Amino acid sequence: MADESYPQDLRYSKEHDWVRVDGEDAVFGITWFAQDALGEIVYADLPDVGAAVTAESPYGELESVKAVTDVFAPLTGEVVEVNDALQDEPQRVNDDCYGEGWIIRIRMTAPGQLSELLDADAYKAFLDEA
Amino acid sequence: MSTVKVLPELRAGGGAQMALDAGLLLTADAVIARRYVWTPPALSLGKFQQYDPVPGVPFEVVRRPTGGRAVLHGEGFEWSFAVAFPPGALGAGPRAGIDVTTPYDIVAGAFAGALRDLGVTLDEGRAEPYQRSALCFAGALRQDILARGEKLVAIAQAKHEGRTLVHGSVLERRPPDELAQVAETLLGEPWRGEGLAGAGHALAPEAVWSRVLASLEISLRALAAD
Repeated sequence: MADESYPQDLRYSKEHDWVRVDGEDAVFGITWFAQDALGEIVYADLPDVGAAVTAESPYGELESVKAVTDVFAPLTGEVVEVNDALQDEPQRVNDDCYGEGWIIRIRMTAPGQLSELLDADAYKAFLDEA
Repeated sequence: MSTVKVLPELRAGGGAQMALDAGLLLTADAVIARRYVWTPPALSLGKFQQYDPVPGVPFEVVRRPTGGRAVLHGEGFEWSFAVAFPPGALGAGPRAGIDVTTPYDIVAGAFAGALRDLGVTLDEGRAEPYQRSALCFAGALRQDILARGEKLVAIAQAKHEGRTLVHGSVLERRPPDELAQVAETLLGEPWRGEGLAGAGHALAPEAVWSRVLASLEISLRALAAD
């Protein structure tokens, strides 16, 4: 597992998801903090390409050795790509949460929602509130 | 006043038992605990566990709302429990929503304490690969509750929209051969696990459960006082 980090080029939600903007698209994953809290991921139940996702609503589930938990969409849009590699290697979410452990790519339909997400420093400050 | 709302023991089939636990995960508005008995016997599978249905299986096969591996349930060799936590019951703050350690530790700690109180010497934990077996009681993680190498309590968890369900199973003894052999055929692995009997104990479920409930009360009051 990589060391704790929160890259500056990403945006973050309070449900511990990250967003990487790529033109009209946005890539989602879960943060280092989230994967560490969940423990070893053993299964990823993900939406199909073409599915609609809604900000702050669950779009999939992750099973770890500790629990089955929802994964929340930080933005609204349509799924255009799913990280199929997670079907065989779900632990990529632990090993490289900001890289090969990405989860889905969406085409944003409400890009204005980006302004509601946190930057890396604000997310770290949010974590420190506990 | 009790923090934990305790439901009466329910003796019912697998579909009803899992429907009730799934309902608790969706609607619990207080900490709710229940002990239950699967009658007739049934096999429960983890929510995403792979399974190829086979005709003629002499017991019900149901999905749990939680993860993990297969558990054979039935009166006389096993009993089950569930604890549901509503939003906010396990603390507040940015980490609470994704905290899967606290609910697990509260419930597992309650069972460990109850078993020790009743004279069971528990093993130190061990760490083994998660998917070593398709049968839950045949594999153990570091935090599982074991005695003399026998896994005594299986615990699984799900979180949904702020609620947490922790449920599980206490293996009293090896299931009857006619059930264990079908499970072996379905899952392609030999049955392993003798539970409490394998560790040299025969404990009344009510004695264990009453101690678990008492421990839950103490833990939740301490959490609320923090």
